[in-house]
Amino acid sequence: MFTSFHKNKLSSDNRGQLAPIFIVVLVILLIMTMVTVNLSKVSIFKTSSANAVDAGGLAAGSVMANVFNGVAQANSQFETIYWEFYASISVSFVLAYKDLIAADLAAAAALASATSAASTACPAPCAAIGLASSASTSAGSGATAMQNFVLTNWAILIAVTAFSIAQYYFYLSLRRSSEDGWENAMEIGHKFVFMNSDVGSKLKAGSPPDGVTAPEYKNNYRNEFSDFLENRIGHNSSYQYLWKDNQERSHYVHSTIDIDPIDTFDFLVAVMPLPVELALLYKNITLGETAALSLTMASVSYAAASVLLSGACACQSCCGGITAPVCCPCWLALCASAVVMLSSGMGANSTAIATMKPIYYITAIAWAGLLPGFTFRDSGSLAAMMFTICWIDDIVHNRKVRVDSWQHHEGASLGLWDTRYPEIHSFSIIDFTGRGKIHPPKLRHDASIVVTDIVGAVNTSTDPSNDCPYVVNRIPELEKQIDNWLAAADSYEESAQDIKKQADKLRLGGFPDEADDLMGPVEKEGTVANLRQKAIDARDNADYLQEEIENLKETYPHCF
Amino acid sequence: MSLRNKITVFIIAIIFLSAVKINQLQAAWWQLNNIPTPPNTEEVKKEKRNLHGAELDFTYYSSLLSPDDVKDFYRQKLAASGWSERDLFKGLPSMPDGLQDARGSLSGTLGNNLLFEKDKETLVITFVPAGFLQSDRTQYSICKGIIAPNPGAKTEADYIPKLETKPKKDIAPAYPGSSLISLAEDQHSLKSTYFTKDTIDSVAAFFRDKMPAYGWMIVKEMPLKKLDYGNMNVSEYCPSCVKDSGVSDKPVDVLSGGFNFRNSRGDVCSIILSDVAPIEKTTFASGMTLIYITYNENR
Repeated sequence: MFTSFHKNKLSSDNRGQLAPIFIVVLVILLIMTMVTVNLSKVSIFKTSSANAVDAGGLAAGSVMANVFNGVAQANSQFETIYWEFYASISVSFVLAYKDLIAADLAAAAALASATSAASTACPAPCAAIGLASSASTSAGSGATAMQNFVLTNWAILIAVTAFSIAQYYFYLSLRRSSEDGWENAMEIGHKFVFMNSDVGSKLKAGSPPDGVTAPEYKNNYRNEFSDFLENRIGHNSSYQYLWKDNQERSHYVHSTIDIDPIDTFDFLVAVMPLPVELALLYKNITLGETAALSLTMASVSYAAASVLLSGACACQSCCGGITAPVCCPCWLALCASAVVMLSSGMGANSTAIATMKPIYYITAIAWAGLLPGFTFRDSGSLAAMMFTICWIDDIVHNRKVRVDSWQHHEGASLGLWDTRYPEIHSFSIIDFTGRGKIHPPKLRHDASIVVTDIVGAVNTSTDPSNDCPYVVNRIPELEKQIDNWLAAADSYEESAQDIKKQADKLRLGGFPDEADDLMGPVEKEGTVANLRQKAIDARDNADYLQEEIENLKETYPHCF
Repeated sequence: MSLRNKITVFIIAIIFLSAVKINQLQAAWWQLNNIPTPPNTEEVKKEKRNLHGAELDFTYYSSLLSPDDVKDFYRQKLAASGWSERDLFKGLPSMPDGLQDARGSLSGTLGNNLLFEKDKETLVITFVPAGFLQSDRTQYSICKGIIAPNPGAKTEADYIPKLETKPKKDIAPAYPGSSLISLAEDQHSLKSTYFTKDTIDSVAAFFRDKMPAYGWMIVKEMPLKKLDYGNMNVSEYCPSCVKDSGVSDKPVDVLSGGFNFRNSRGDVCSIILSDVAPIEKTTFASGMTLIYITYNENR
């Protein structure tokens, strides 16, 4: 073209020299325009895709935050139920101890009386009657106390069993509802991705005609898309909506959601596994029954000895004069029998005392065994049933929702020009930790976007290694803030201690009202209660920041 | 002074003295029936429990004071109103060799409880040991009442700590003769546990029949089945328990089943039943049925 113009310009004047340049520029402009049109379309797709993943992520994250808040709320009930259980069971243990100590003291008193009775049975049977009788009464009351102890232990055993299994079932029900919550989060997340991907506006109104059966053609209608949203999205990790438009161009929107399943719970369990706890209590019961039986036998023997001693006493009084041949042997025979009975009773009595000793420490171990002991991790096995659950310590979960979406729109053939659009990919990562905690329960889980492919709180790159400079700088900042909060907490504590000392002095000095004024209430600035609450809040803040450090270390292990 | 004035003065004096006396009586009643609360301490919950066959009042508190401060407060105040403290450590035997730790454990556990007595009344203050509940506050409970041998209490079931406080929500019918053991409820949910000596089959039949009258429809019925959760070597923890008492390594056999219900509002209720045989060879192995009810409002 340029050669032709060059040749022609020699045969004419110089006019038209700009024409080839103009044509070239025109073509370039045309290409640029078309490219521009494509780019703007791509930009629109990208915007809708980015909105979709943000909306899907926030929706799923909000549901997950609700699920975690729900667990925290239920956990608060867990802890309350445990507290009430421990309080009532402790009262039972205290009362059991009262009975045990009463039985022990009664048994010791019975043995002492019986020993004295045995030593005086023959020389002074009349004096021994009262001792034997007293031994019988003491042993009898000891037996009654021991029976009460046994019944109380039965009651404790049943209560512990009921409580442990109840906690386990409540945990199972919570676990099930958490799993349902996770499924809801997945479903709602996907729905929000598709609803915000601008699919509806690209489809034809109404339902597909009867003749249209192929899914990709049916999907070109809005009612089909509504049906897809309502009925075909579940809790799978990926869903795709694919359709062909009137010009046979293929389009699809693909959504992938990644949320860690809620399947692993850490809970605090009582020191003693349930079967061991029950075995200890049962051991107590069997020992208690033995002790009660021994004391009953001792009581009966002492009572029999008392009767024999009454006879011996009567015989002793007539052992002299004409009745001596009958009375004296009678006295000796009866007192000897009484001594045998007393010895038998003392044997049983000693057995009871010996049996009661281990009950003290078995009861103590069983009691202490119900205190919160260690963390047990459960991934859904029935082994959790072997332990008495006090409360849920945590859910093993990264508290993140990642949503990815891909959009593909096939270009059109424009004759000279085929439009082509690249596959658009967007992602968004949501953290729903907020300031929530499973234990101690805080219902402050809240979803927020932390990283996207466009704008990230940490970094815009999808390469996690690029986040390291931020993470490495953030940790010392957080540590400094933690130190500040802890120092503040200590300072509040010290001030509270000082003011409490002043209050104690005032109280001692006869100014109780003034002392009370210094102690509280919490709302009043500068009181002991107010300062202690501030110390608690400060430590709470430090804990929260410490958790943020742990989260960063867990999320970005490669940075350290 | 005229007779009329004298009578007037006399009447006023009588009224004044009566008022003083009533006030004193009221104060005495107050002292008798109300236990003082330390400063900066709030009452969390109040409930009635049947323990040892006696009805006792349980009150739960949360305090900003330290456990020692709370103990000092009660020792001082209760002593002033005639309560005498019973030393639970007194009478504790010395432990055999090798079990000194058990005595430490016993002392530690007992140290978290204060026992007071006054006439026929008993008062037990129980502290959850510091550091066990993760709240920074001191949490304790007071149990008060007359604990006397109950002639009506014949079996171990009569000694179970039962709740006399009833659920606020009428979610499900109470199984006749069952005892409420635990209850936690708020505005939108409820968890409760009941105990009965009836068979699990009769309990299941009862709920199957009666729940529809409360507006519940059965969504799922879980048939009764025995849970097999593996064995635990109890002898590792307590060798003499196995040897002496014949406890097996698998002491808890649980037959379990239940129902899931839903009502027209979308609320859900689950009733799980368990027939528990806590330990083999026990007298109550059969016929101890536990009923667990959970309710969640649809919000």
